[in-house]
Amino acid sequence: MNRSRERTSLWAKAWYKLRRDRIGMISLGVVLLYFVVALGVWLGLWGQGWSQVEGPMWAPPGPKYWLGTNIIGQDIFERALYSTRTAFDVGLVVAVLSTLLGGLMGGLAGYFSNRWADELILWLMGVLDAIPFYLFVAALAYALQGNPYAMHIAMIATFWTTTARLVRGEVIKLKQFEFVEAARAIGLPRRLILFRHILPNTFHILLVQATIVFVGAIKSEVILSFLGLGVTDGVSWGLMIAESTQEVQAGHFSNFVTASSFLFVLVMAFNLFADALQDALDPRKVSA
Amino acid sequence: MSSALLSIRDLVVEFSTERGRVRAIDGVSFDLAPGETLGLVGESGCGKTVTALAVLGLIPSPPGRILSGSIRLEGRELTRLGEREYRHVRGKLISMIFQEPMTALNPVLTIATQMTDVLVRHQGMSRRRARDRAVEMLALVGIPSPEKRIDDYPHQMSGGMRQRVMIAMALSCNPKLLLADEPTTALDVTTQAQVLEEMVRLQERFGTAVILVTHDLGVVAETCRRAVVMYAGRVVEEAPVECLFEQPRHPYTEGLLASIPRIREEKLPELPTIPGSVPDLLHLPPGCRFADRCPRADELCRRREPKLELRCDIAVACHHPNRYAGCRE
Amino acid sequence: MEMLQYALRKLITGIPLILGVTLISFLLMVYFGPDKTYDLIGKNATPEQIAEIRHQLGYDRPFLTRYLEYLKELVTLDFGYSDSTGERVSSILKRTIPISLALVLPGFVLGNLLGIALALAAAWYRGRWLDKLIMGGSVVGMSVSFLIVIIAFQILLSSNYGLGWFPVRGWNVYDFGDYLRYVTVPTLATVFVALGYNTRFYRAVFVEEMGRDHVRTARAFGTPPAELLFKHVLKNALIPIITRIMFSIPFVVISGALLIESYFGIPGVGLVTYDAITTGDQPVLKAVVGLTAALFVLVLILNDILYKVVDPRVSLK
Repeated sequence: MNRSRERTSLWAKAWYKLRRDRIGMISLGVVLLYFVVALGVWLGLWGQGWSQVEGPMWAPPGPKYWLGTNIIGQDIFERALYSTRTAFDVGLVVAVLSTLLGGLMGGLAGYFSNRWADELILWLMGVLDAIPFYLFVAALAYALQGNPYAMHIAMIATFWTTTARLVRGEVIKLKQFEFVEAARAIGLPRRLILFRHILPNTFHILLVQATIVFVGAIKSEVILSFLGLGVTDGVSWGLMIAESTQEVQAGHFSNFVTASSFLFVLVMAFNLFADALQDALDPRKVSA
Repeated sequence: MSSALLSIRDLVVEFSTERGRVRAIDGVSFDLAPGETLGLVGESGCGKTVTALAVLGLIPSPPGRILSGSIRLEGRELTRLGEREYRHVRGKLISMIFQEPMTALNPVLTIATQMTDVLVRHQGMSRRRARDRAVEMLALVGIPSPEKRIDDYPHQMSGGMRQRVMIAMALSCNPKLLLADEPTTALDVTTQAQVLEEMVRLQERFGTAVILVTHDLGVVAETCRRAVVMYAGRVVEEAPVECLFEQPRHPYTEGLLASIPRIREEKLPELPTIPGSVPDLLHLPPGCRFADRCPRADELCRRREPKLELRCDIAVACHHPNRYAGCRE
Repeated sequence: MEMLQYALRKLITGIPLILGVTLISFLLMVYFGPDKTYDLIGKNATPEQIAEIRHQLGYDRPFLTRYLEYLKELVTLDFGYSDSTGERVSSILKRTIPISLALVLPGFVLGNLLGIALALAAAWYRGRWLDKLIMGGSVVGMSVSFLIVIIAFQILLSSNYGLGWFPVRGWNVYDFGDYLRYVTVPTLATVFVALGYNTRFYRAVFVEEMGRDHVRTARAFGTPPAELLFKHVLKNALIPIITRIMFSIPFVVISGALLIESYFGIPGVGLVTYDAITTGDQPVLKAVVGLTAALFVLVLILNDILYKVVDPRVSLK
């Protein structure tokens, strides 16, 4: 079907546009750099000494401890590196799963729009949107009895709704198109129509949403960990900031500044990249 | 033509797009006498609307800008006016009616508010007097019980009504020039005729000059004395309407005329159309812009662009125009 | 009258939402929540004592009964007594909600007003340097974590390492001067964080509105810039603006207050909620969740009524 050719040319155009977007490419580079750091931690290349208590308390930055040590003498740089991995753990898991869930639910709701399945999904989204996020995380944490993934699950369970709403709208639009009518006319089963013909055409929405959710997840992790509702084993920028509040009162800013800067640069780069991606994939702009 | 009301010379409007700079209109010139009605004709995308917007100084910038050329209203250069000065021209000396009556009026303001705002601004009237005047104008364009309808919101009116409101609003300050951009295209056929008639009647009454932008040659035949035919950003022919219909000189005009369905004539096996489509303004051919679609195009046409040449009231830009048949004058 | 009827009808359609929210939160917090029996009982309790406590806590009754009881509590606004302090939940809320409102409101209002102003400026000068400056600034604002902003502002404005102009934490408010001293730093932090998101959102709304035909018409009739922006662009963009503001109310009150209050040690409903989370104080949590859901439905209704006020095309049917 020439719809698929249309789709490839859309992606080719988008890629071409993205490559020419200087800010977008630089921010993509920064994100990839962070990813390499996270990968190194996973592979055990660096950041492994994050929990060792060996240095003096509040050592200044120097050749041994690049960014100094924290209140109990841990190497701040090592901890910041390891936290990168934590951020990607949270960001990737939440972004991928909530986007899949959102795509699926949005696809179903859109395909069966104004039928009971749609009503049910809309109701569920309304309910999830109406529960205060932190309370939901806390409640889930209790229900799951200290499961380390309680935070992840809570984020996935709440972040999918925005994606689902967008996909639902797009699917309702796509349903009117001829290629869907044609698929229905030749008697393809519904499941096949939805998964083969409709959902692939919402991929650009899913991609942009995934980047936005990734940023949201990283930022939420920091606040949840700070509140004691987030990461329980390991270390994260949020936990570093939480422990730094005491240090800040004593005039030691290295822990706070390090964690904040690592977080800020990644989130900023991701935001800019998400913007560039959105611009590149915007069909109105592609044809302009 | 020093007595011209509006005089456009070598106007070039450029838009910067992602793929490069594009001249939406490229060296357009024509004149308009006071009280005259001029048709501006061509396919969509040929630069008709851009020309009208340029006269009002409303080219969206960025991405567009007037690169060169001049637009004079009673000898006053408009392209060099500042934004503040231009505001005193818009709606007062020059008014415009737009194509889409459904969206051209502000949906959250009443007709009264929108009309009195213009009168208060340009005529310095009190709100009460402005309202009276607005009611008067609505009555003139044939809106029944205008003193009631004036408090309606646009969505409470039909498309034809709204376009009448636009006409009333446009003429309320008694402008010297009215730009009508496809004013009847979005209306259904019966309403089209009524609205057009209303417009012509009022234009005559107020002595307003009109530039009627349209792709509909039938409308031009009914309302205009002269017509300017545009193609791909350029004027290809300018002639009195009788001449244009009797003996079009440019092959493009000829093609346009041939593609109008005529009711009374014998049935043609197939309505003739002009083959091909308007060239991509980014990749214009070096010669005549119409060459690719022209049955008469030869080596010369593809190499050199024809100039607009004036002869006895008819100007044409073609290397091989139809014979000059000699108009009545 | 028409409006009242509409509100009532809307309230009825809001019931499934409230039921859903309360059901899910009840399931998670109460049914699957922590068992408090052993917190209240001595070490060597007899089975009878255990059964007695469980009966008092209501653990031995069926799920539906307990859920219906929760709904009754919500309708009567009587949520019993706090597990940790023994105070009546309703009196806790009565004491703390005004504090949270006083704390959050200035930042909320300013964040939206400034956001709208900046967005109007950016949209008006679209593509020029001012637009780029404002949009660049708002991406930076969006990228800084709320937590970092709070801590940084506290260091810069309140601590001895910075200017030291404002109290570091707490809420000793007895007059308007006190109020200003305590509310300034949290407000600045809220505005800073909200501004990035708000400006971006509102700019997109205004840019879209400015591209509409009726704005071109207004320009074609010589409308001056101020009138164009306020009477034509802003007025027509009110629906998305209202939606955004209305729907952020429930979250600003709970989530926004929660972080600020727990960090600055301000005794508002956010801090109470935070304490209830960390100590598992279910009566308080149930009250907060239930009331938020009710607030959400109220916002939905109010939102639709406001639509009707600002847009003559909207009819309440």
